[in-house]
Amino acid sequence: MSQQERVSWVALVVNTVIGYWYFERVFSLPADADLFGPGMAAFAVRLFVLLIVITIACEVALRVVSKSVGSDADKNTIDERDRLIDLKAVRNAYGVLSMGIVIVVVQVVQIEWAQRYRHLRPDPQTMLELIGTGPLGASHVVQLLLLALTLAAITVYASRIFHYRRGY
Amino acid sequence: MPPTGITNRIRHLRYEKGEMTQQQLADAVGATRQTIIAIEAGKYAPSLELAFRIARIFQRGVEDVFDYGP
Repeated sequence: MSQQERVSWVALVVNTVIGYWYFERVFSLPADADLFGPGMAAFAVRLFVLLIVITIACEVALRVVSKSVGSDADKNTIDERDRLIDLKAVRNAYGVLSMGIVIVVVQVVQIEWAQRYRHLRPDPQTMLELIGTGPLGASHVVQLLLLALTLAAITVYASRIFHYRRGY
Repeated sequence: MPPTGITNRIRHLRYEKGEMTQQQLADAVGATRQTIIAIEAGKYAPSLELAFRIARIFQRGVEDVFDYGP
């Protein structure tokens, strides 16, 4: 397994766990919670810092272990195959991000129409229900876009691993 | 037939060249060992530039090292 693949595994696990942690908390909040409030901002900043620190610490640990075991004696850490795999992974992430943005736009328009023509559903209790029924504010749209970005980041690492496993 | 459709004689040529290791070949052509492994297994089709560099190491033409058979 190459160093690039190991780093991708670490990034995939860290991004998935922290992404799940964040969105599980956001979507289980009461529907009237303030997503731009100081408590939520502090939580988001703490998770973001944790994400960076854990990723860097794991990468450093991997490099130290690789050197001590002597399994990674490559002079060239990145070559044309790594760059090709990177391009394919970014292309896949672009597709996921584009799809996520389209879904957010469709959801906002659908809720707007439902409200305009009085097809309203019962009062939502949690943030997850609110995203399904509306009304959506700027903070809710930001959370949905953040979810699309997180899924795109996970797609990059998952695609890299898939292509490294396949060989190209 | 490998997934890329390109076969190669790199393993044989490495053996002929004093049992050259994959790491030595990788260092000589400016690639990673993982890439040499993928090329040898027919999982990755190298760029024209890398194919020429590999052929030059063995002092052969590209067609002596790589072959394409649909």
